[in-house]
Amino acid sequence: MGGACSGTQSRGKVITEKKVPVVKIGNLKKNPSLYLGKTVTVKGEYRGWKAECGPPPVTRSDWGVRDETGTIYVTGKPASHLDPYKDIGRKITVTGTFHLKKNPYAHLKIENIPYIKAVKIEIGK
Amino acid sequence: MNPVRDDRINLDVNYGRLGRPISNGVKKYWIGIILLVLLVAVPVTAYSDAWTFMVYLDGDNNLESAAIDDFLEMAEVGSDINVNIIVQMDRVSFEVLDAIGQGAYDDTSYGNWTTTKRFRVDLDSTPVDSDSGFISDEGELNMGDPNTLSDFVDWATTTYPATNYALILWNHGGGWRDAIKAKGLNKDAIKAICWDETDNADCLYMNEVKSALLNITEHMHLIGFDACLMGMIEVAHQIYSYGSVMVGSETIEPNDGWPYDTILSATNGLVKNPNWTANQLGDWIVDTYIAQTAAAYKTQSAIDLTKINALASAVDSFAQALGYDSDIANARANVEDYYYPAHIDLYHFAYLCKQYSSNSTIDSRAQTVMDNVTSAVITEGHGTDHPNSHGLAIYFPSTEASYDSDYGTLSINSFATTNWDEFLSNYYNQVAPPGGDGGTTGTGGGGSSGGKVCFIATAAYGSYTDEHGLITDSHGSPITVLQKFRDEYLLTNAPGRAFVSYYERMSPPIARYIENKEALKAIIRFYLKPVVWLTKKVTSNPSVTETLNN
Repeated sequence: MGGACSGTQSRGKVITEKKVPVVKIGNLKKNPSLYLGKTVTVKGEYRGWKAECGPPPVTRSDWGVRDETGTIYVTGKPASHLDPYKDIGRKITVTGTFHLKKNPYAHLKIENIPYIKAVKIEIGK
Repeated sequence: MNPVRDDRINLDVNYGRLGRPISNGVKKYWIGIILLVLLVAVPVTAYSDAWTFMVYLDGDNNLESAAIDDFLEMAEVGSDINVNIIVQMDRVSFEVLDAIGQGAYDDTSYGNWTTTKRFRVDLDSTPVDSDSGFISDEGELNMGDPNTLSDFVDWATTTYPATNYALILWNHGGGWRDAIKAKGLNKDAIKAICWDETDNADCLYMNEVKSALLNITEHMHLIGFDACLMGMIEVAHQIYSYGSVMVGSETIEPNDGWPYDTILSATNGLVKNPNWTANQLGDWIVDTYIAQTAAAYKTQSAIDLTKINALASAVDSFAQALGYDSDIANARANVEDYYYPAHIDLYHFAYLCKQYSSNSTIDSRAQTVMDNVTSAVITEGHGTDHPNSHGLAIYFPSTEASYDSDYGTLSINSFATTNWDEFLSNYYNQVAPPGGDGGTTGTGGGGSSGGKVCFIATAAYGSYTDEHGLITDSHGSPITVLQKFRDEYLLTNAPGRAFVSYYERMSPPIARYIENKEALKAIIRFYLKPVVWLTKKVTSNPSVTETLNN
């Protein structure tokens, strides 16, 4: 893998980064209604399957991104092949729409699991 | 009194085998014995069931909650007199989760145990020790260890013998993934499944799954991957000797995975139909998954593993006709791909090559691949995100930068016996197809040297053929015998690997030289005969060899 992970992957609608607010993950979690369905950008580090926010909300391949205010899940194709363990800590910028998934597990005491459905991912060194 | 009837009574009741009259006491004795045998035998034969459905339920990671949910789905049906639902379940501890900041999300339900437990799932079971289906607590086991897998399967098949066995590997899955020397352990992080967070996120690489299957006694009639991205020809090729049917998805799966309540249903699933064959069960799993999964990205397929060798042969031949040209690049650019863009649909790629290319060799070999995929895929289903899915993906990164050179290493990827990796190398180096762009014959490199490892033998016998030159799926052809010897004896030790490496370098020119010399090929076949015979003897030693289709 190594250097192959650098670069940008863009899918779906074209997004101009200037128009998309860079949001702290903590803000997304504190005020989810403000961002629900809207396109946001978060910058942080790749957390793979060690996302500090419970079970993956959508698919078994969902992965986490963390900044200094928290961690959130991302669903969607990874840029290149990020390894969910080996690449933990890589700098990453994710742009996508913000969603809340109702916790499907009655035996897990959380209400909703927030996540970003990615349309653009940039991976740093 | 009717004399005839008297005779019959005498024969049936009053005479033993030697014609001597049987006394009432002896009669009672024998009736007692028969009743005793019946009393013992009826439950035993009832317990020697139609199916033992084993689930290797690895919840020792961020899927713990989903694992519990799937256990409960199985318990909505429960085992019965014909079907044993056997689960080995591993959970994760608060401490392990807390160490990665996930402590707040620990699933504390059902006793919050953190070890590995075995259950025969009963109706309305829950995963706790006090449950009627609870069998044992094995302590913390590393589900990423192939020995843990083979121990579980051997125990389950011995304790719950059945006519048919299904083994489901449940967890995250990566199919064929980029090589990274994983976790600093100098292991090849490819084609993996079942990560165990407690044990340093160890996982089962596909060569480890193969070694686990090699070590178990029973043949698996169905091997299922309730995990992402395992529906690949490379995965099927790794396990085809150990199972009859494989079920897997070309792309990712939703969190809740397979609908076990419907798959096992007593109304219309396996428990209702214990006489199902592996093909029928595979078909049902695919149908229920597709019907009950809302996600548009869904894919699932059941694969006839007995057809994989023939399909590999077709891909091998196809690969030899391929190279880099604008038509093939166009096919690659437009092919159906998946969550990892390096995974593409095999059938669709062959179809596009056939559409775009005017090379008749490519056309005919692409059609052979398509025919063989159709033959190997028992059932396939997909959502609207992947309209060109046909059931089996193959590894084809679009650029060399994302190509994993370990893909061509036989000890890691058994599919490297084909020339697919050579084609990828040619493609990245922009080597034109042997027949030339727009050519009509495409003879170069085509068909003469089948499996790349047995270059000389393949040239002498023909690709994947038996002694009579017939294409075969069986495990008895000379090439298959030699390949088996290579995989199980030579590639398992350093001198053997060195020999294989040397052989791979020196043999292609010889293979090319003898390609069109029938007399020379006959001589080589003559000299290879004792080698094949001896190799067959060695590889058929039951203490070291795999169990094939028994």
